[in-house]
Amino acid sequence: MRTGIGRIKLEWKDKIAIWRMVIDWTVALYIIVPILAIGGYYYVQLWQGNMEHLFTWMTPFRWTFLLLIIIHAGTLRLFVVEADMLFLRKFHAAFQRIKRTGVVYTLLLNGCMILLFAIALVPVWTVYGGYSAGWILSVLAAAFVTKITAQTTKQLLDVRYERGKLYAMNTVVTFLFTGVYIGLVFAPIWLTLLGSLFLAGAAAYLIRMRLREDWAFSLDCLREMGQRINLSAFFLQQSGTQEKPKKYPRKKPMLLFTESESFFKEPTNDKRLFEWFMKRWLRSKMRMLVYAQFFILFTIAIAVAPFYIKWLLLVLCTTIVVYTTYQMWLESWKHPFMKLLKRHESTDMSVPIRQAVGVITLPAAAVFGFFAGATGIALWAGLVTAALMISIIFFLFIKPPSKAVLEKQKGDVV
Amino acid sequence: MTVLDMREVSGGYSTKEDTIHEITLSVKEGEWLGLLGPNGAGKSTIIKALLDLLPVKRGEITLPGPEEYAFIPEHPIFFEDLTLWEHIDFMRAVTGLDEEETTERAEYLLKLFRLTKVRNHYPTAFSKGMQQKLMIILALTAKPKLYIIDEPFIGLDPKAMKDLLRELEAERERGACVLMSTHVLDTAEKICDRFVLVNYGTIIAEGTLDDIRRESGVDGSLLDCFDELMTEEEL
Repeated sequence: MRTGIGRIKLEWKDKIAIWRMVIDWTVALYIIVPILAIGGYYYVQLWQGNMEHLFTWMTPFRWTFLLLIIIHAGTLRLFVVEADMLFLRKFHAAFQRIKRTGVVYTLLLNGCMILLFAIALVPVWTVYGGYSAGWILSVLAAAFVTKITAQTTKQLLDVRYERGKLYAMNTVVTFLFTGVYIGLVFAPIWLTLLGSLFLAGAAAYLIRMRLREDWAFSLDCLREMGQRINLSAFFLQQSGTQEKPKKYPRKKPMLLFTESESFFKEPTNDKRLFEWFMKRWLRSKMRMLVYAQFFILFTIAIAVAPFYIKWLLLVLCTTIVVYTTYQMWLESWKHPFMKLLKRHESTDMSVPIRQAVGVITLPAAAVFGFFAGATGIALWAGLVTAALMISIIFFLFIKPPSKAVLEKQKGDVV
Repeated sequence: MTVLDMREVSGGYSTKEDTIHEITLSVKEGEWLGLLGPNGAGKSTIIKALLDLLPVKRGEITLPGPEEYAFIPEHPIFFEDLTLWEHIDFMRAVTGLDEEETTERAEYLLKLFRLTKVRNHYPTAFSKGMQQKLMIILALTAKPKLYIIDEPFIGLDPKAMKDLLRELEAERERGACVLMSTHVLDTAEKICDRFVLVNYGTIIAEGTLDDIRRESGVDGSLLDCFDELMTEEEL
């Protein structure tokens, strides 16, 4: 028990250290404090009944389904570490105690998360929806038991299946528990409570089953390691540097392009370096995720912004994508492997960097341009702006330098 | 002709305390120098200081140009999202080596170290020995003047060890020299021309096998001399 609590304490110590590293006083002063102040003001307004306009389409009842975000987040924690293999795993009772501490921690964490959400939603339900305390409590109880049952079920599948099968099963489970929760919310209070009681029994049975699965020790260690570095990985992923350990790492890449000789008419070192960066970028789930986040968020921002802000955002968002891609290149260039290759200092990298950044930015720039034009003026304007953005990116980044320029550069180096 | 020269070099990870103290060593063309010592003696630190991967506080280091030496690290380093062959391709692109010659040599080395079948696989999926072989192939493909090798035999199977030694021997005939840190003393005894014995970051003996024997007062193998010198040092 003490070991388990020690591990939880250590994890929180690390988490707090990462938060402190990320949130320095400037972030706190300019972002956190204003958010708290504005959020606090609106929360008071919410209790005072001054925000009726918010609930015309999104009725207080529909806000209940926001809890689905919480229900499908997180996993059952066991707090096992690889070092347990040396000593602790042999002592079954002590090992089980650690895992049980992890389960209690998960229950408390789930409870806290739902409570926090409830604090935000209670005025919506009571002031604007007029729901009773009994109904609110029954919904929260249903959310809690659905969450823990879903988490445990997904973990049971996680240690048994892999890749496509696992994705398919997880999707089915996600839909299933979404349906269960929705059903419980729509049901009368007595049925919600009865269903929750049944789910609690199922969760207890599944947790006991999960705790007995000592054979899944390695997979548990891997998942726990991923959970421990979750927070740091989240911040580091913004630069595309760190990925969580993979359960089933690929032996071969999906995108190979071995025949790059036929891909390029005249393969040169510049082209190979361009190819190298593109391959690294396309094969990294984390980098693609960052790009996708930017792509979606910026497209929405450009589409919904007022007319003049739209054009400003178009330039700003494209610049951010260019800058982030360039940062990813720099990160690749600072990789420890480069310790083995000292000659890069004399290698001119400007052309492959420019081209790779351009090719990656091109689709985003085109879509940003299209949405800016289409939502600001008309569909034809969207197409024109997209074509304009493609041309700008092409001429600024992708267009290979002419032979005369290359000759001149060579001459300058000599 | 001296290829690598290190004169009274001191430095370390901490700003307060030095890990290596006044290290002086040199490697000549075609020479094999064995850097020996127990765990934590400072062998890898000396190599890191040489490669400018560690702050050097005092002393002087003369190293050939970056294109003229290759480093084989103790712990393999690679890009997690590039395949074995892409690493070779990438090295060739960055270092500007001749394409045809490098490809031919890399193909030969892949075959020698039995990695041809996994040329399109990620090194992350390899065993420790296979990853070490990739590091060796990258160094040998470049055909440099100087090889700086940190614990080359860790994880290698006997056949790969033999092949590596044979390739390095061929490189020596070409005039290349080797600075190698190792624990495998019987192999070092057979292949190295000179030795530098390090303990607690200080050189405690150096020279040919005969010099080491004279210094230790033991007329036995390198391991016996090493044992004797270490015991003296501990006392």
